Amino acid sequence: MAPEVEQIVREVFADLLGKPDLAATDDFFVLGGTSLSAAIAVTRLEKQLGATISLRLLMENPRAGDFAAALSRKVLPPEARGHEISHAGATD
Amino acid sequence: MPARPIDGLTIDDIDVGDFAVSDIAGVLDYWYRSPPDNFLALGLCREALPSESCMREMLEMAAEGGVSPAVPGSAILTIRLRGEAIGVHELTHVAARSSGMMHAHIWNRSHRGLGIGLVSYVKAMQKFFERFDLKQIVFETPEANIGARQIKARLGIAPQGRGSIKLPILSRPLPTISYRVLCSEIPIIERNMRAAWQQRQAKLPAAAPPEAWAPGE
Repeated sequence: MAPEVEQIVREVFADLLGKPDLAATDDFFVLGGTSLSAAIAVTRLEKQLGATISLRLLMENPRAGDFAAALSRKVLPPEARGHEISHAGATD
Repeated sequence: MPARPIDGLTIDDIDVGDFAVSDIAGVLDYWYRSPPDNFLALGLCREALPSESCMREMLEMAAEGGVSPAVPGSAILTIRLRGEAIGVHELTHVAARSSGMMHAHIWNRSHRGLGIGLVSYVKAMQKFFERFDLKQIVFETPEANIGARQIKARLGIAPQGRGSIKLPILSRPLPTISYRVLCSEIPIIERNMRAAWQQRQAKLPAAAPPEAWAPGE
């Protein structure tokens, strides 16, 4: 799994939850995430990663690291899993 | 302009129940297509909302009985007026067997100011207390939301102090009034609701007399 994906996921989670030092093992819902903030997280990640992401994937993988790994496996095309995805979709 | 009273409205006409797939359209219209004035007044930022497709998926999961792994069972209840879905109560920040934060959204202006919230708050709290085995429900009511504050006052829910709420859909942190209801207080609050309802009905203008029969019409 590309570390860049995990970094992006952690940044989005950290911003929404107000936890700047969020770790890969931190659980989105345990840290105060709600269904609405989960939907916002997915929307932001869709824009940043340029991919369609199911909210269910986050519900099933609430830890930042697990979610990033699931994204890499199930959502992102192989060529987007590397370092170049850190800038994909970040123009808007 | 105050909402037009509904003839013969009773406490039993107002109910809360499980959120259903058929209620999703009402929620989406409220968040994505309702007039912006109410949102702006409450400091909500529509641009910060999730995409409508993502919100729909979230609501579909809620209708299936659970949104978050941290929340066992549905934390959204639909407010129904004579069977018609007109809004929702939602519980967030749920710590099972402990605490949750309750919110209310009545979708259309025509249903506000009729006393519906007075009844639906109490019925929703009763269900949430039972469903999640909570000890307390808290509210962080925006200072600007006078209607929601009046409901708490009529129910006898005392303010606990001032606070602030920061949500991703708010353009800025909102100053709030904090409230707390203990499970053991529900019987008193229900009595207050019934008394306030009676008082409200007594103050409503008398129904217009039937139109006089006019010969020849």
